Amino acid sequence: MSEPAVLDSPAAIDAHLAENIEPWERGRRGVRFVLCDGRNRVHVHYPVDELPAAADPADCAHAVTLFATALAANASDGALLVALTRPGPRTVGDPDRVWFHTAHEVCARLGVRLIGVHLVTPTDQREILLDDAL
Amino acid sequence: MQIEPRTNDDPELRALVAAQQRELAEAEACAGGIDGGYALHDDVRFLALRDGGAVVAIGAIQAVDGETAEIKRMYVVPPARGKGYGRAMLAALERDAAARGHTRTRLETGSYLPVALGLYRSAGYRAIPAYGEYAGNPDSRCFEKDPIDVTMAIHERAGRP
Repeated sequence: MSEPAVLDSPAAIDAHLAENIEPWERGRRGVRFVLCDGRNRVHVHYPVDELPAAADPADCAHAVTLFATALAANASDGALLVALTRPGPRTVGDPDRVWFHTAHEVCARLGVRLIGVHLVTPTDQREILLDDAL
Repeated sequence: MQIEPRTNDDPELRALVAAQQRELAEAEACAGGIDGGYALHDDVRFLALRDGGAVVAIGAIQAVDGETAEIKRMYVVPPARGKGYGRAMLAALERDAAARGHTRTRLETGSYLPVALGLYRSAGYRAIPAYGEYAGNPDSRCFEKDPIDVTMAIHERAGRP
């Protein structure tokens, strides 16, 4: 059994996503919730697949709420990483923005630390930053 | 929405455990299976998921040994099914196990529960031979997951090499 990955830097997050999201998954519309402990050590990955092209804010909020709630259930500190997978270029689009804003809003409301929202495409991956989402 | 620990003697929890056992017994009877009702360990910990004031899902986890924890009594009340509550409960139980130092979770369900089988497979669980008290039960389907060994779990879920 290997030690859990620690998502304590942009490079570590990049490497972890590159290692754990396979090429055939990168082009599918999905979202990967990565539940971590208080030291950003990866505990559990939860993929949600076959998402529609358009992101409905209520559906996104429900999905983020489910996993943020699961994280908040434990007495110890925890953190959430959200990785979106989809076909297309690395340019941030409207559905990506919906996920970004929803993840931040829900985590803030539930008091869950959000490590970040990342976009993973067949050929690239990047963190979605506030500037991208405005 | 909130997931919170509950004690074994919590009346709301006991009502849902009874409903789960009743539903399971009915499904087993339809499938011609044997009666369930396997005992829980003394160290079992229950979680309850509350949404809109009512508990809509429960689940439990108990240590098997230092490495492995077993998920038990997963149940979502019928009107709340199909909304992801089971998946959230499973994630919370796995995280609870990981936080207590377990590196593997396992569980048993019935061959006659296709929704449960789908949930566990989609969550990265891989089939294993029936273990312990389930060995020899033809209706038992046992699964295991190493939560931090993500690559293997997801590959096997998808049937990829």
